[in-house]
Amino acid sequence: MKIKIINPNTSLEMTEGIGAAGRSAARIGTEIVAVSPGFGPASIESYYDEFLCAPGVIDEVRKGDEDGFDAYVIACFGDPALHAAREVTRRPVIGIAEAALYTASILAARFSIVTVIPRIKSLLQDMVAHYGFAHKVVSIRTTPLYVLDIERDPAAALEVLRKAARAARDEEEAEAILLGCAGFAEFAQELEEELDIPVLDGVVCAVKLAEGLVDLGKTTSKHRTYRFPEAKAFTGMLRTFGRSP
Amino acid sequence: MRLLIVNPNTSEGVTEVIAREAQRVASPGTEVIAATARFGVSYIETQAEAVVAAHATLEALAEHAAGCDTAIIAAFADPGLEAARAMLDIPVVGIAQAAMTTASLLGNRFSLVSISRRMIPLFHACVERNGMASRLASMRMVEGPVRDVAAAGVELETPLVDLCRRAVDEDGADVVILAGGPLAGLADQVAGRIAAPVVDGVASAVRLAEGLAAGYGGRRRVLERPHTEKTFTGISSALAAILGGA
Repeated sequence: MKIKIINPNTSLEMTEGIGAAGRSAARIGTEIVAVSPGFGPASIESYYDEFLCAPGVIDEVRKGDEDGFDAYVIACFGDPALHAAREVTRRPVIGIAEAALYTASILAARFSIVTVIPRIKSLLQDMVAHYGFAHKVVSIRTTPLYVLDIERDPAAALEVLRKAARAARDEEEAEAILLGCAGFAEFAQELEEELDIPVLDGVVCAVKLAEGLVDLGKTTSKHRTYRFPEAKAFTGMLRTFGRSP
Repeated sequence: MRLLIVNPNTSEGVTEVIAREAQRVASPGTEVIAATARFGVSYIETQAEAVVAAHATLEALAEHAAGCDTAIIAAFADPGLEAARAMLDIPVVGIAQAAMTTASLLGNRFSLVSISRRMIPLFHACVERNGMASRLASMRMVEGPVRDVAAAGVELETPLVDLCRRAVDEDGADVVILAGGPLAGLADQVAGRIAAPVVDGVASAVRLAEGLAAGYGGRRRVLERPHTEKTFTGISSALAAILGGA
């Protein structure tokens, strides 16, 4: 089985970390390939970034189908371009935020998300509500960390994250912690051992879900919502995304 | 890996149907242990029956969970699921939650198809508890009596397939869930006749349970011991011991 993990930002060091997290969870026999799009933002921390990373994600899914991948993971905690990606392939596509939320809801009654800078809080609140987990997420704790701070000084980032996660556990009675950025993946195990509650990295959760769906032989429903996009011309910068009618 | 699957219904025939499907989709190294509710109802339709079944499910888990890596509750309302999670330190997966999770990864809207109209309020409560109300396209249920619940998947196959098709064609479903332990295994048998993916709760739960037991799932918070020893009356000693009895 071949799973392609798409880091929607173009920071290759982060992509490597995400690939390592994916491989740590994969079974023997599952091949994990982690990539970044060839164009797009260096990190995703706003609606603007989220919107403009989407063409790069779609491009990687299309290339992935040519390369025979069995499933895709979109490795950014906002699940950018998830629905659009499902439209352009039959293979299952899983976002790391939905994967973490579904997994957390099996392991814990209530949980918190610890994440990067404050401006993304309302994006995450809306996303959590969309997935139907507003009643289970007791807090979304933001930190002063920018996404690229994590690889710049991992030890300092872990310290900030530890404080936020501990506060979520102790002050909000969170029974599990969701790491709200794919760049946090490397910290999951250490934090889990320290906090003694499940600490979930969405990349790991998504890889396990992807393996499960492929095992079950299930593919994305192409019946209605996720039908292939209607054939039409795209112009200018997006001309390669069109399809002759 | 040892996977315990509890049938909250008292029908042994349904347990066989469930166990067969669990075994079929389980990984080679997984040992499936099936248990049947010792008391309750042959198949659950109503809230009251689900409450009774929840107790029977906790009893079965208390009796069989020792030495298991993960457990599945195999009735579509997930009776006793939250209580079971608080009671056991292994991951516990319900087939309704598992089916809805799988369906949500494959499409935007799903329909539930099953064998009795009397299940509708129970299923609605379960959908809402899981935050999935906005994902539900419809519920469609076979009309009329169920003669042999363990054979429902065979005897009602034709009307069930018809309802799946109508859910897909008329109700806007991207995915259909064949809901209920008695229907375990039917989804893959009829998938070729339906234009959208058909999801099975037991199969979905087995994949989730194996993934959780392999990946993580330790360090779950379980019940704090009561401050003083409590008296439990009329329940098994195994369950009383887990709940903190003398």
